[in-house]
Amino acid sequence: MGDFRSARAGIAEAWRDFRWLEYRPFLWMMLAELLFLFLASNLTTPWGMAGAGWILRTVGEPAVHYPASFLYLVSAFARVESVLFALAGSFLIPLSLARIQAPMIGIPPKGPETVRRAWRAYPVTLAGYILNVALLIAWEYLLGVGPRRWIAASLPAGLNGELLIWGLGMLVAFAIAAVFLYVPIRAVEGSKFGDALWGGIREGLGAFGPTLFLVLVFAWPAMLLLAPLQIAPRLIVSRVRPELTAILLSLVAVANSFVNYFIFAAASRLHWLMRDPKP
Amino acid sequence: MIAPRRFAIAFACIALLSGCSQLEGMATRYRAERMVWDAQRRETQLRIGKQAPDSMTLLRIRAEYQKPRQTFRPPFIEGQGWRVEKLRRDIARQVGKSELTASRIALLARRPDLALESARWVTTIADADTGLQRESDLATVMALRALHRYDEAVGIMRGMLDRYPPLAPRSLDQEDAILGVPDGIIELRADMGDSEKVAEERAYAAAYYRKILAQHPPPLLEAQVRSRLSRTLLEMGDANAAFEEVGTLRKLAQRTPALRSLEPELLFTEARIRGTQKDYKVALAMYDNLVRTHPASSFAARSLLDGAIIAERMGDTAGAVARYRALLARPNIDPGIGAVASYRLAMVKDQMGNWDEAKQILESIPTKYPKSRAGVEAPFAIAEHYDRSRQPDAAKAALLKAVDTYRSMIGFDTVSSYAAVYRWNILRAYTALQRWQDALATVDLMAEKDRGAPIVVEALFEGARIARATGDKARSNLYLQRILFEYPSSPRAAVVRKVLEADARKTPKP
Repeated sequence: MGDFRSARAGIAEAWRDFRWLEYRPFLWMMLAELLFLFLASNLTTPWGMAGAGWILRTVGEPAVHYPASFLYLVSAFARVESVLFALAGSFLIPLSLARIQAPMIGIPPKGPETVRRAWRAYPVTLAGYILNVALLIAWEYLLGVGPRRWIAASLPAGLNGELLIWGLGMLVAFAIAAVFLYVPIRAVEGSKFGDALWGGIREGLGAFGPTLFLVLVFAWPAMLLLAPLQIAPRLIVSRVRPELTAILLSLVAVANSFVNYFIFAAASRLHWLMRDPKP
Repeated sequence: MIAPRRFAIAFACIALLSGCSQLEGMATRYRAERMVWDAQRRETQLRIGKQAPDSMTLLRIRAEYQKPRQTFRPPFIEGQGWRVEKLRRDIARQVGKSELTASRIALLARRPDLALESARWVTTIADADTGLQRESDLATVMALRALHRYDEAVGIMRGMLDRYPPLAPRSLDQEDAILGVPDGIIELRADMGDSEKVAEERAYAAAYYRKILAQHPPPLLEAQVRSRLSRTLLEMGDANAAFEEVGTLRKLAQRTPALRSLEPELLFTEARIRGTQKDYKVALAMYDNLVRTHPASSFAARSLLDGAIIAERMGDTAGAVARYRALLARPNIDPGIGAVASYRLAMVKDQMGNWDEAKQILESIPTKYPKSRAGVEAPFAIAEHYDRSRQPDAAKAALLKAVDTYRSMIGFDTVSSYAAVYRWNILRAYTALQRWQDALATVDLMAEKDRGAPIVVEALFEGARIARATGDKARSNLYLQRILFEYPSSPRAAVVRKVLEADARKTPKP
């Protein structure tokens, strides 16, 4: 119960103490995502095709045709986001965390030491992220062969079944993410590779309930935007307007950027509260 | 400063790549696809609440589908190489298909002239795209049919037979549409009521099938061609040649496992040949056997029809009625077969003295099967019954009802090739009713609306006869002259020339 109280305190503090400098690394990733979406929405131009066409093609040849490109955009965007989080995020997330931690350990948030701490955390953050993605892929597979079939068999075909499957998929995905949340936090603190990775996972498992709670508290607005894109992408493309997919994804990118910042900010505060509990 | 520099490099790369003709082609193709999609969306919006959109709405829809043609000009993209060529073909296909939709909509809007122009334009951009060429040829044929330029339509269909060799199917369920073109030509001639040309086209079709067989096609294609050839030979009345083809086909089926499903067709053709050779008992037994052993086959329906006709010939009216009823009770019945079965069932019922049921069936045929010979003849059959049973008032009423029926059938599809036949029957009805002015007005209408159709010659000739009988010799001569000017190669032309020459000799010279 005490951990949940700490989680609530961490959430409130992260929300109250929002700092532009700490958030900026997430902004860079968001801008890259928005750039991709802008290029993908302009495939009518050679520069749009040059910028986003090759990424879309990795999903399939129909992805460079209209209106299928917007149908495949959700998958392509997920790939871009994954690669961005793996390659750039492994530095930018620790950088944001180092800036959050800087005042507590008495170093300047913009100083070279902060950047050095972020670079040091790169390998373990990348390894943690790769493990996270591997588990997500495994879960996607298991969802397809197991729960999806059972739900489809027990519920009549329609939106309810789809919503239930999507909700279950997202919940487990968040649970996996919650387990790996402390890996970059410990890495920035200067822990060695093994200690940061396995220690972070152990900490995630130990504080699983409160961590999942804070993840869900911040993530739900972005989930609301993502739901129609993942549940009924064909409906949006064929019945409404294909371009709406790109607009919704842009909103998701913006929302996710803030959500990720707040989650890491709240988790790092929870981490300290659990490490040095105050009387 | 690192990040802005990297972004600048990335943008420079994108700018450099975007100059590449392949990317430009992909972007152009994407624009064309979006334009077609927008046109489809606009069509849906314009059709909302309109079950049968008026010509203005249809022409607005057509304008939407014409936008790609107006925006993208051949050769669509610059550059060379197989990738660029493929993109060029893709864009041509998008633009061409959109223009073909515009052609189809122009046809619905009763503007076959616009439909023809669109179809012909697509032919100019189709180049090596055989699929698009075929589609544009078919659209051209449809437009020419609507314009009553039947000979040109047949010319293009024949050209298609030369240009597009049939492709071998993967299974018997598939058939290259080109193999159906000879039958399409025969059907067109039959719709025009030109029996002489029908015979000519059958001979042409048989020669075409034999030409393909001489090239030793793969077994599945050979089976499809032989099957069509045997049917055509049978329709030509050459039962022996048809029998020979069926024999060869049976041998082919025996040595090719993929052709086992041909059995019902073989049995049917053999039974039909027996029927043609007047070996009715054996033919009937073979048809009945086919219905028993392959009830789900489409040939079972045909066997029921042919079996019923044979039963009629053998005087077994109960057997005939049972077969017609079994056929009409089948689900998803082919309209061509259903129309004939309904008509013949009505005739048998009339012969059996059950006129009420016969009349009910005859009245339902035009609405159930409007595009069929039975649908055209059924209203007249009712009038003829009253004529035979000496009920002049009922016959008159039936003829007036027939005129109304034909008018409503024209209203359903004004561009159908059947419209000319319906008008011809209206003329027949007015002639029987001795309403001469109405009859002559119908002749005038046919001369304008159905210009080019062989049946118009008959209408003009009939009009000349009526005008002469009613003392309007000038009008009669006008009709005859029109035959000479507009249909100089028609079989009537020689007679007309003689009549006009005789008239000229009789007329006193000033």
